[in-house]
Amino acid sequence: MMNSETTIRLPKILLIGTPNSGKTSLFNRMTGLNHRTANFPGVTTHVQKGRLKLKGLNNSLMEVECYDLPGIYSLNPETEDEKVAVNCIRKALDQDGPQCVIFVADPTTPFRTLHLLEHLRHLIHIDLVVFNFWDVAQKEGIVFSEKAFRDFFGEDIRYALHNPKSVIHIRQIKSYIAEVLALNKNRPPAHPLLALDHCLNPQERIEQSKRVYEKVVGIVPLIFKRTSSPLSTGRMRLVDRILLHPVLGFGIFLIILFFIFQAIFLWSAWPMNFIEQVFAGLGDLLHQRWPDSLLVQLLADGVLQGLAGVLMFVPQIAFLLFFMALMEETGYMARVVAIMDRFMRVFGLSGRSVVPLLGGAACAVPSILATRSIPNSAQRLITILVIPLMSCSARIPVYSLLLGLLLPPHKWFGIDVRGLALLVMYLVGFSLAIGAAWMFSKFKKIKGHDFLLISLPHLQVPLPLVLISKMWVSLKEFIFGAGKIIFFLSVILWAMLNYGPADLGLNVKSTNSLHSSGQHINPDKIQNSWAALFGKLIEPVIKPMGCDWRLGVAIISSFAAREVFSGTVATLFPPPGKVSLRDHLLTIRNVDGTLLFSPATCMALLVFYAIALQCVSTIVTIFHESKSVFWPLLQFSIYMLMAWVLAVVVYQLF
Amino acid sequence: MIQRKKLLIPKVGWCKVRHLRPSAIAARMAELGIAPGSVIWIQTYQLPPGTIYVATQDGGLVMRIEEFREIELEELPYDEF
Repeated sequence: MMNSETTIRLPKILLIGTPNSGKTSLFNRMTGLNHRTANFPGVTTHVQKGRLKLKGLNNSLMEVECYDLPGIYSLNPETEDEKVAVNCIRKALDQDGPQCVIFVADPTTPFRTLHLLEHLRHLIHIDLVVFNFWDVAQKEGIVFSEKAFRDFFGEDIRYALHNPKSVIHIRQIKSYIAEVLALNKNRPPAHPLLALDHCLNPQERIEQSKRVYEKVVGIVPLIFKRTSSPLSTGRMRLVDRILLHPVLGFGIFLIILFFIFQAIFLWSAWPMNFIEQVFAGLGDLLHQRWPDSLLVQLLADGVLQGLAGVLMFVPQIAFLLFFMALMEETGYMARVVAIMDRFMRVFGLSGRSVVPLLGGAACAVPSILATRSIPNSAQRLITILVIPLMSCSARIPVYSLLLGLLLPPHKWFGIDVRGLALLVMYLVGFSLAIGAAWMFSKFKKIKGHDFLLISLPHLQVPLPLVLISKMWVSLKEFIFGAGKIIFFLSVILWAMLNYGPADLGLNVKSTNSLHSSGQHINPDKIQNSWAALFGKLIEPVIKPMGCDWRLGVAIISSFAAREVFSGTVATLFPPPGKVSLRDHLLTIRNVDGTLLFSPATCMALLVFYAIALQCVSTIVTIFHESKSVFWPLLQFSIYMLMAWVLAVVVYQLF
Repeated sequence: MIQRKKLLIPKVGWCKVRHLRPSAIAARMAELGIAPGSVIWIQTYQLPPGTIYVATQDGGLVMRIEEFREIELEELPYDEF
């Protein structure tokens, strides 16, 4: 469905509006795509394209291209994402400009909405105004006056009241677009001033805003009549007084994090066991039905073991993503940004860095793109450089596996110890990120700084369907993105474990024994395999952190994606029968008889994985955003060296 | 009254914005509805240090107070609203 280069030029539709007005939600509904949305600014940082089919006036189907722009407050951009949007709007002056401009308006923030609409409509022809979140506006007692709207904005602009839950409203919007495109020949051109409007100096901007303000301030109460003033909603201010309190606010945030990580471990135990058992059962079934088949060995011992080692952690990742969506949709995330600002400032960051950093707890790639909302280039670069230190969801399989080996699955005063340890790992990631930011700020001078200005969305109870949908968007990326890599690497790993130089007639002496009784892979074969040969080459480097060649193979494979570590471990040490992976790994021994997964090794690996930059997609995104090879290379080298040194220190200490 | 120190800003209450500096910040604030002449509800206590909570007719905003070199606010009695 996503747009690609085409030979036929399709009609273009632009979605313009203030930040957080629901443009991406409307875009998703119209195009059937599922781009990330949130109720705080800075989520859409680039122009998103999609196609939609419309029924023309003669009932023929036509295809159009829809462009979802980052939110703006005016045509004077201050951040990278605003510049992207303004540049796109200015293309209306070209021959190849849009054929339909939709202004997405949030009636719950009527001033900002009408301020921008009034400013824009003199420069570019607005075809349709969609008053989004109409259901919320009605709940707030807002009544729309068509007469006042027409009196002020004239008859040329169509409008639609859109309830995001209503299918009828989407059909109505699509039919309006079709009408606009049919009458496109009469579309007035953009005003030449559009080319100049973005380069006003601050004083000119104030004067311009004052002129627009004077016009708009009188019409807002006429167009949007309120039965109760939002200024008088003391309940909201009271809640904010608690959530934004310098002490209480932090306390509440930490308590929320504590409950999230407890829930991640407690609620996902059953589905994790279920997934593990399903994969084990499938493997056994294949071996019983076709005991001598090479293909079955590849599937059962390679692919299934590899997939099980990672997919069993999907419930934990799903819960983390669900809770993050819950914090965003309730409007709480914007409050977290406000309380974190002062704290971040000490380390050379700003409140605007909080959203990308917290987003890094899910995935670093969209978070790096989200830094486009940071206007200060030095602060933006520093935020990009430290985001990979935040514990992303790909680290969950690694952390969970190692914490499961390190800590017993019991509770302490009703608290799941592993859940608490996972929270500590996330806090360690955050501490490392802000510590690194402080270090980078010493080398990269920050000239000036952006000012903090956070719009607090209304606190609300989110729809469960919205939460599940948001969770699924990210989870799908993890399952299918990681799934492909794991499938590919599992096949390679299986081949490397089952074949060796001897199969090519080469004579290689065994120097190490596996001391592990894998169920289906012959241990003698493994110790003479290509994997062993390769693993032993890197063993001297990883030996000081308590790892032998087998863990070396797992570490190297995780350079494709961190979560592959768990899959590789599961492939290297397949648990026999009904034995769980955890119980089996705790029996694996080194050549000298000591436990391979000793507490010291597990802790060293935890430290290594908390710091090491092992995500190819992240490195490529950093290269794109920093427009330099230097920064990703420096970042990779520093983090890898730091990860190795600290892992060695931890192993030697314990 | 032109106030240069954040401590001189009323702790809480209704105000009419008269004047803001620096102009780069004032320009963005004007676009958000906090232009000279607009009425806002502010709170400066029980917040992360150095921040100010501003309630406009479009909802709440949190800003850093020390960003302003000059801020002129006219305190309004509550019963005006």
